[in-house]
Amino acid sequence: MKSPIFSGKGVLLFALCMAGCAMTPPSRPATREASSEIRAGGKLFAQHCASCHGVNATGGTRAPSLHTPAVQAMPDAALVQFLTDGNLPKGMPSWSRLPEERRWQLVRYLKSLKEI
Amino acid sequence: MFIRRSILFMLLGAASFAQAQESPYFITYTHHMEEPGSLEVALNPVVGVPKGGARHFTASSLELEYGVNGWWTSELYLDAQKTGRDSALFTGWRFENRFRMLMKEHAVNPVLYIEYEDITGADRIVKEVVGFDTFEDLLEPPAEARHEKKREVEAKLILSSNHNDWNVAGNLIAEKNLSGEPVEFGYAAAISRPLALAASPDPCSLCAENFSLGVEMYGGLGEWRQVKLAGTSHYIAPAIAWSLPNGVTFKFSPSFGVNSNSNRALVRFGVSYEIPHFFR
Repeated sequence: MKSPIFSGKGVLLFALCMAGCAMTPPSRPATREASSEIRAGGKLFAQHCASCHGVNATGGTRAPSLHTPAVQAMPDAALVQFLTDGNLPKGMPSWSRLPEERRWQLVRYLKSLKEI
Repeated sequence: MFIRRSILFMLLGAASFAQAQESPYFITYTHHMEEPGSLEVALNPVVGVPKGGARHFTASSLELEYGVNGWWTSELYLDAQKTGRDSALFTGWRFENRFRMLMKEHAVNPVLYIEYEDITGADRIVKEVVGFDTFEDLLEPPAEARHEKKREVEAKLILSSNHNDWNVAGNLIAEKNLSGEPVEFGYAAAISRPLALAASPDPCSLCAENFSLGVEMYGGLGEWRQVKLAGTSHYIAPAIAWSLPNGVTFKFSPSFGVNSNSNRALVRFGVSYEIPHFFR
């Protein structure tokens, strides 16, 4: 005997899922996306930048803090360009090997840091 | 035994702090330099499927790549190989330096590459193809070929570009055997792209953002006063790299010979760790 495509349990599960989705408070998509971008940027920062700039981006002996007004006031596009070029004579590597979207995610994370 | 384990733990522990963002290439160089003070340790075995009755071989190079500063990367290779049932052989070493010539990102980014190598005729890494290299070079048994000394200087002009998240790179190679043979030429070209451009918010290993795919083409260009594509070997090689969040990168690339002078296949594997702030 063929099993029915829509079994009773399946329909019930589907209805519960839909109800769950409907009951979830709507969040502003832009906010949710921004939060997700910042988290992704934080992950990239931990992978590529924290070894020099410190886990909290507060700087260290190798690289400066990224909470400073100079960094926080810099336009986003200029920060992306700085990540792309690096500052090779001073030891800051070029991050052009990262796709541009990931450089923007990094900048969104940096701009989410509190200015100190 | 304890010392070996300690060194292994130190390497693995240090590697866990950094993630290498590796290109999938084995032969073609790009303008991306090693980060200043970072040491990358890589093991790159190659399995050869030769022609003309030569036996299959496995060669391997241990690579130590160090970022001297933002625009200068040095690398030491130690080569070895094993053919059929013969015993394994150490086949020599190479020392290379790469100098990035422009300090900012441009449409095309040139890098100058200088290498000195002291290897034997039994070396089977096939890091590049130059001159009129063919599958016949691998027919000589390693026990005899090891007596042939090759002390060579090699220069490369590396041109590399990132455009719309694709990397395109081309290398022009000139190699001179110091025993007086003419200058030999070769080329390598490649294109690659990450499978996903944006990073996901959560840590992940088996996700598209950690993979990049590419294809390489490399071969010989003859020698001084005989620059040509004929009479030498050429290969095409799809390539994939998988970078794990803990700093380990795996690479795989089967090279297929595309003309009658080439070996059937050279199957390359790679694993690397990046250790930040080594000696600093």
